[in-house]
Amino acid sequence: MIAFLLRRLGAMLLLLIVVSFITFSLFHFGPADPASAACGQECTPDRVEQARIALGLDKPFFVQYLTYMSGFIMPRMIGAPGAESACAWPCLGKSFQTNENVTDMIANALPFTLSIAIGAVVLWTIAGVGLGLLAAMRKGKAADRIIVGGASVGVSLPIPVTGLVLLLVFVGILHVLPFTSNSINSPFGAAGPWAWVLNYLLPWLAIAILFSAQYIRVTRSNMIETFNEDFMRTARAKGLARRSIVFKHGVRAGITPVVTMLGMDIGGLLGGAVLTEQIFSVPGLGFTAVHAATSGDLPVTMAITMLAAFFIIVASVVVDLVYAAIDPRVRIN
Amino acid sequence: MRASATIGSIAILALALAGCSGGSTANGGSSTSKADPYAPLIVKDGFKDKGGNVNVLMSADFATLDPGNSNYVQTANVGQLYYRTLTMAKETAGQPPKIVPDLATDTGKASADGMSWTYTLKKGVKFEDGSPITSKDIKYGIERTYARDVYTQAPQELDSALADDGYKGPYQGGDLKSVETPDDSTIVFHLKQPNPDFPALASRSNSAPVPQAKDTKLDYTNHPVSSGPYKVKSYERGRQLVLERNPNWDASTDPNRSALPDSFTFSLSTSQSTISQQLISNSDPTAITLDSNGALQASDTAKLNDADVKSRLAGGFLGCIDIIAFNTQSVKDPDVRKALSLAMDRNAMQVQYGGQRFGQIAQSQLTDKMAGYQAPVTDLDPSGKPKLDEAKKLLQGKTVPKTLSYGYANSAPRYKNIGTVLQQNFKELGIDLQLQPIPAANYYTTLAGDNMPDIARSGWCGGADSSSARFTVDPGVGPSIDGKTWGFSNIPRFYDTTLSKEMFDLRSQNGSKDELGKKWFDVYNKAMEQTPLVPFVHSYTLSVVGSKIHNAQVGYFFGSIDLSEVGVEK
Amino acid sequence: MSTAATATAPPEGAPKLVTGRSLLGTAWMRIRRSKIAMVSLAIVILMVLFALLAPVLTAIEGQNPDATNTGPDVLDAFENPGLPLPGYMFPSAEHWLGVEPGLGRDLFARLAYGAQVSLIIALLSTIVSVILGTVLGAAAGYFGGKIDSVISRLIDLFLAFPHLLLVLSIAPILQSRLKDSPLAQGSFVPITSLVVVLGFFGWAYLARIVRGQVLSIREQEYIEAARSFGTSHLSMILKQIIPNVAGVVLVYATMMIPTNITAEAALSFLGVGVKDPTPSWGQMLNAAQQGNWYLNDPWFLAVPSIALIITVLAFNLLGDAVRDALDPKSSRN
Repeated sequence: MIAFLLRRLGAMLLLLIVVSFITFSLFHFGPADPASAACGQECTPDRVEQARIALGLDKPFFVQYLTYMSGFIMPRMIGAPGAESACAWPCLGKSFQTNENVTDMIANALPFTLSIAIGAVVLWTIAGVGLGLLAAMRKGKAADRIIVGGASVGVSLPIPVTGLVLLLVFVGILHVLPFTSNSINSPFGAAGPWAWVLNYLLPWLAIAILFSAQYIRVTRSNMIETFNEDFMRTARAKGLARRSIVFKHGVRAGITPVVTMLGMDIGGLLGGAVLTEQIFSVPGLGFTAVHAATSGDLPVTMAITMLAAFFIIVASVVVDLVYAAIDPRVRIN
Repeated sequence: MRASATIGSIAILALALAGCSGGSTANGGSSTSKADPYAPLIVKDGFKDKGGNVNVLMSADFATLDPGNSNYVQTANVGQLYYRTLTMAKETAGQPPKIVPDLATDTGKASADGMSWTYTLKKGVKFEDGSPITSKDIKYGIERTYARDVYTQAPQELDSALADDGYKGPYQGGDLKSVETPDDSTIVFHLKQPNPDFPALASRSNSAPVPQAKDTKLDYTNHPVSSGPYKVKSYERGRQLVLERNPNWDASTDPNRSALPDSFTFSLSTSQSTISQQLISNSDPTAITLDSNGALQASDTAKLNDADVKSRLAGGFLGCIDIIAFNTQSVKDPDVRKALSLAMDRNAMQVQYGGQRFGQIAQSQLTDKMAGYQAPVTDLDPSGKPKLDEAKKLLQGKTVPKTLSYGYANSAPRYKNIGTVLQQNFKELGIDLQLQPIPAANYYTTLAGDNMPDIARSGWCGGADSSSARFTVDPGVGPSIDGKTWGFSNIPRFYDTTLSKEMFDLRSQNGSKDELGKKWFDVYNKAMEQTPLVPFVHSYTLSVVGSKIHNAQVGYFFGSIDLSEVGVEK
Repeated sequence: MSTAATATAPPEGAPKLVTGRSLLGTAWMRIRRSKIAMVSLAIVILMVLFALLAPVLTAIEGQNPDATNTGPDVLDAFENPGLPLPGYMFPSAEHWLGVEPGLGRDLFARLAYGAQVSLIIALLSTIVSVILGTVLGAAAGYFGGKIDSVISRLIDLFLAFPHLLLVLSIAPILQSRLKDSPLAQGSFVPITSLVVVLGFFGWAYLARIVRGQVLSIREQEYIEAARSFGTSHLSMILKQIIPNVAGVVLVYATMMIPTNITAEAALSFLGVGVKDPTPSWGQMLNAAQQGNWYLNDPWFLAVPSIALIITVLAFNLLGDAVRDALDPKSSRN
């Protein structure tokens, strides 16, 4: 078990380093010139060069990369020669645009992304697994057909369409909800949990409609498969009551692929719900990343891309562990 | 509509604030007459009550609060609250700002040869910690702006007028020789050449005092030491800035800022949709916004006619006039350029900017608000309609390019839409216009470089003193020594040996504002005979405010509600 | 394309094992018997025809996708500047689907030419992914050893990347690189870069599945036998492996087309994909959101949304039918 964890952690670290290197090179060789971006509008070629030096972009590629990465190990100094300022560990650099500490920017953005992720995950898991289970148990009946049909439509709804239609209906036409406010990013804030729910309801729905449709399909097909497996037939033959069969045996075995999927989806969502945050203008990680990517703000993009990769990798390790815990047929070695 | 928090046009950097001390124009919000849809709208002026908090909604954080590292109008607007400068550009809705004394006792005294300017500080001016503001603090603030390797956005207009080009800033360069401080209340500037507009340059944020002991370099933006009526109480980057009263500010030394509210709270990451919705629905009666175009969305315009909203609508012209610049080095024939200009449907272009409501068709970059006004000489239709027949006639017997390129900043759809309109217009002349997106951050660098497209949109808001034609003409079609180097001004790369020489001479001439203004107008009109650029819209901004807000006026330079005058009911 | 879903959800219920070519024949028989499948197929064919015939249809209509109509007789000039007047907002004999706000271009023409762009991108990027995934997956499974471990690590790496974030950053880079190439004509650049980006990031799952398939095929007796007769690698792959994975590849490909249609819409919506004046369905969604036009002109949002949903739904249902037809164990039968 410990050996397994250590091995996975090692592989994780290696993968993160590769991800960081690739991201860094992509931006380094990209089209946006961060120096002229940072230099602003009253810029002269002369000043672009000065900005390049101040941002450390005049150094060779590998020096730049290693300097950036050194911030993960120790604090470092950032800025033009003679006017450096400290960047405490863990240093993810400072924004080329605003000189803001990237660690702080991420800390600011994370609550928004979390707010979106938490509600969306809860909604789609309950709706997706619940309806999927229901459909499997009523296989072939009207309820099953309605749920399966609904799920087919659901997986075909692109998030930009769902998001804009939700805004149009609830904000534009019915006026029952406001545009998402950015002063609320936690259920424990001054505005209270109810205001938080109302504020994020539309982003949650935009994500959950698509995801729950996928979960319905996966849950249903896995449950039906499990019902047909030998041990279920045996249990039924032994005369166990139907309800207890479903919950004691079937769900536990049939749910494993859903758990895998859930783990990976949560991992992905924590890196920023790019589209949803953009549609609803929620300044989470995805929103921040889009802005940074389009304005050539390398340290910010680097940090968010790596954080997102980190979440995905961690999720895959967690999924493996959970998998072993709930499915007795799997052993970690 | 416009999304960017830093103003979209090249001008921002250059603008100075000016002002008239009394503050308000004659009448209140109802001052529009039917005849002039572009008259300034001021919401409930004449208000004098102190107290309360104004909630300023913004879609993005300030790029910086450091006066020595700012080229942004938003920073200039909020800066009125926490820093003072030698002179100040004081806003009046619908008018170019006026230069008035601020920390100094007057707008400056020139020496007989015009080569140096002397300022004397008012008595009793203090920093937020109670220590006196001296001429050395002002000099240090100016020295910082020379450290361009540290402050990449440092304003340069004042610096480039001074006689020290090689100075590297206080961290490496020691003492700045061209600024002298014979005593704690006197400061003397030595110039490269006479400059009658120097008082406008002295209003730039360069001259904001910075105490050397408290210079935290790039972190200065987190807590700039206040010399104005408010100081930073708390600042969470990207989230919230709170300004509270500075007890060491003495109102008797400062007739330019009424400083009515007890505090300002800036919400720094509210989306524009939310801002405009909240302002229109008056959900927070103490709210205003500093976003450009009042954060209004295209879909909001119809609601501006509601009686309730109308009474809360501030509006006014900005100094900004947008133009289409030709690359005169690639589109060489003046007749071809003129034909293209006549083929443009400037009405359709105006629609992309929000229609008549958000701007007037412009016949020139120079306005009648500038000193020494001369009427523009142009064949463009004053209503903005294209003159296709004349255009086709002009092109007869000419070699007409088959394709042309139009470059646009990818930050706002309107810039691209202008290209789509031009594409249709030029098709009538048999010319294929290719649209070429340019990353917004690199836009002006690209226009100044080797890849300048044939045609590009640009904007200019008037420069350090928008009542002087010079500050539009010089950067717009300014002189070149050899006809090859233009730097970042003169986007059309316009070069005419005679006119270039005339402008070089004009730069160092002494004289009255009207007299010099007229000369610059004449040069501009002569340049326009060769159609290096086509003006199309003079921006008019509207901004809705909460129902408890008073004295709300749109600054000609700021493009948003002037924070120095605004007040709020408790 | 919500952050993680497309990337992490394995094609649900991919067939366990498909044995032999004859199955394709029986599969077609089954598809023909399903009403839903045949309706979906008809819609897909109609959409393809709609795209192919765009020039003909718009010629009949008498409009083109680029012509602007900004006169005060078409667009409101003052009250709500740029909004189409009622006679132009909705379908009419002159403009079959009305005109768009701001520039007054014909919506039908843009929808038709947009269909061309959206479908071409989805189709080509699917082909790229399928080729990459099949070849790499088959190579890994067939050769094993070092080749397998290199390719498997590559797959891990691609799965760990936060796709949307990366695609967001790469698309503009590619576009600026392609811009200077002699091929840069009209809409070529955005289309090519989207095809490359989507194709390049979509192969990893397929590769993993194909690898698994090939591994299990390899163990089967007839392959062992063929190998012992000294058959060359090439002919083994061509004659034995490829036909045996054809089923799973086909299923995966059908399911990837709608995913890529959605992905194009998402990227263009975010402003990094197809850009005005080139129309695509995603670009049209983007235009509807600009300045919140959709709140005043919901029809402008409805046109591309309905086209997207119908097309994606039809492809999804067709994909389900293909999968069910190829997988005898599928829960639907």
